[in-house]
Amino acid sequence: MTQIIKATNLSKSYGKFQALKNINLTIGKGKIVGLIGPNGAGKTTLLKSLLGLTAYDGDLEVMGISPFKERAKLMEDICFIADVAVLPDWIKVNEVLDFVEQTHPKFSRTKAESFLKKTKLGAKQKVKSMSKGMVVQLHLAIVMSIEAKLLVLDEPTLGLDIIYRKDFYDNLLNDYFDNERTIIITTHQVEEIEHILTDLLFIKDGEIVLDANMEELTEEYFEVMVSSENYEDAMSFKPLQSRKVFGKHVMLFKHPNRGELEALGEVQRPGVADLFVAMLKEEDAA
Amino acid sequence: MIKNFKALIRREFWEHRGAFIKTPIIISIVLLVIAIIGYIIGLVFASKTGSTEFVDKGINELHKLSETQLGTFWDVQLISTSTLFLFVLYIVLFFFILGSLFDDRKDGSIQFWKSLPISDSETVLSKLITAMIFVPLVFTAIFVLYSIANLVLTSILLMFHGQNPWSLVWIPANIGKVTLIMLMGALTQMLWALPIYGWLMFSSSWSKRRPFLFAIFIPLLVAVAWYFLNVVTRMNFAQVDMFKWPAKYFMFAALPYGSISLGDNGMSLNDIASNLKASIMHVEIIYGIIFAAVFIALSIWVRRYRNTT
Repeated sequence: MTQIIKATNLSKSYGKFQALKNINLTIGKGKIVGLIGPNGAGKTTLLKSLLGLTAYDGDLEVMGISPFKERAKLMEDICFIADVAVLPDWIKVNEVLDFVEQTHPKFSRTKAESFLKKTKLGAKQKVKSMSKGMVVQLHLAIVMSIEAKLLVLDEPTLGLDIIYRKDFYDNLLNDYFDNERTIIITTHQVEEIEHILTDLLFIKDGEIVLDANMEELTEEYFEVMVSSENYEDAMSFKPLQSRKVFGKHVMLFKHPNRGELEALGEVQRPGVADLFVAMLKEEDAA
Repeated sequence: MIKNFKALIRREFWEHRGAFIKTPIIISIVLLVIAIIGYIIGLVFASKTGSTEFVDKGINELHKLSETQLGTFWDVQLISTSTLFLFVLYIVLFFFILGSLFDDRKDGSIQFWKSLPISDSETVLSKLITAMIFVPLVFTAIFVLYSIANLVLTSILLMFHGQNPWSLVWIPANIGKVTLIMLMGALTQMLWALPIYGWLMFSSSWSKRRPFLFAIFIPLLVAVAWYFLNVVTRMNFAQVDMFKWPAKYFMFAALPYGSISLGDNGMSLNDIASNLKASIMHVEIIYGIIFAAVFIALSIWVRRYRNTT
């Protein structure tokens, strides 16, 4: 099975508010997908649907299972970290390992312990006495020791120090990810994850406004450093976005031909955050 | 399935070690300390008055008792302590269940629990089983240890005064029988308390902020509304009787032995046992079980479909 997630006309309403509007989506095996969108765009609702935590309209299959009907079964193959610090205060490191070992058929305790050896966490330590960063280390050690096919991370590094944030993604990429696995990440700090993403999903007002892989994007979207003398020329290409940095204009273009743009100035790969802002503006204008 | 339950029940004991295990241990220690202090006060009193009359008198009294009377003497002690244990057990379980489906929503850890392949029915039922079976067993076990410690302590003191503890303590005391009665008491308590547990569990899963207020005020409101409905529609002001029926559940839940009188002309252990058996046979227990089943099913439903974060 190469398709991990398949959504057809997936919708979800809270009263009159439509959080998800007829979303069609497939996500294949071995992808690291960034789900990006402004607050209230429906990111969390979409993730909750995938995790079987909320009811929805339309069809949704996650690894061939209907998530809402069979949440418990699905959780054998999915892991998720929703926000940080959701481990209970009172639990000790060895207790949480015991518990997961007994309830999760795909958990390897040896693996978890070897991850934990690299940290300062002791077996008898209670979550209450840990810093936020340490709780995340513990949670990540558990998650990385589960042979899951899909890992869902909802703002996993929120409120973490920059050092932990960097470690978090490094560990994930080096010790966990392989082509058999799929990861979905939402975060506001896009720049931290853009180098590890294979695919991007932009969501706005409950709709997917962009579903593309990173390579396609870099073939279509370009950021150009335009000097003042080329400004008029550049404007005729209708940049999606333009800002001024050190006397130069940094412009974002959607253009099929890289060569034409190179005449205007130095061409770079655009940042996901800029791309996102530009696309949202484009949407609004349309 | 069984493996999950085992893990879930252990989990409850990790979280509530203090309430489930330390509470009965502390009660035991306090009771033993009180006994020792009582003895020391007696000794001080004796040394002040210059005579050991006080202590000797007590021992003489014991000797005057027949073996049956000695038995009753110990029964009274042990049964009343077990009443205290069962009462505290009820209070502990009351608050445990009230928090059982609420605390993890309050601290957000529900997201972690729900990320494991455990169904919501398993989670809810494991908490109920913990309250119905495992905590009562722990309380009973610690009660037995307390009773033995109490008898050992008394024996030491008696030997100190040259008495034979065998005939005064170990032959007449019925630890085994009292333990059996306590187990029956715990069962009776559990059956009568089931509707209360069911309601508390529902409050715990339903309430968004204050399960305690929800659990208390909704029934109060219903009671008041019912009362006034009767006053208005039937001009019946003396409707106290109708509260007797629900009160029965609370009474047996808190004090499962019911009203007992021990002593020379009072009840024997066998009487208490047959009282307990009789109180389990009440038809109200069936109603209680049905009520509990409905509200536990609702709790599972709410946990499954509404309490997702």
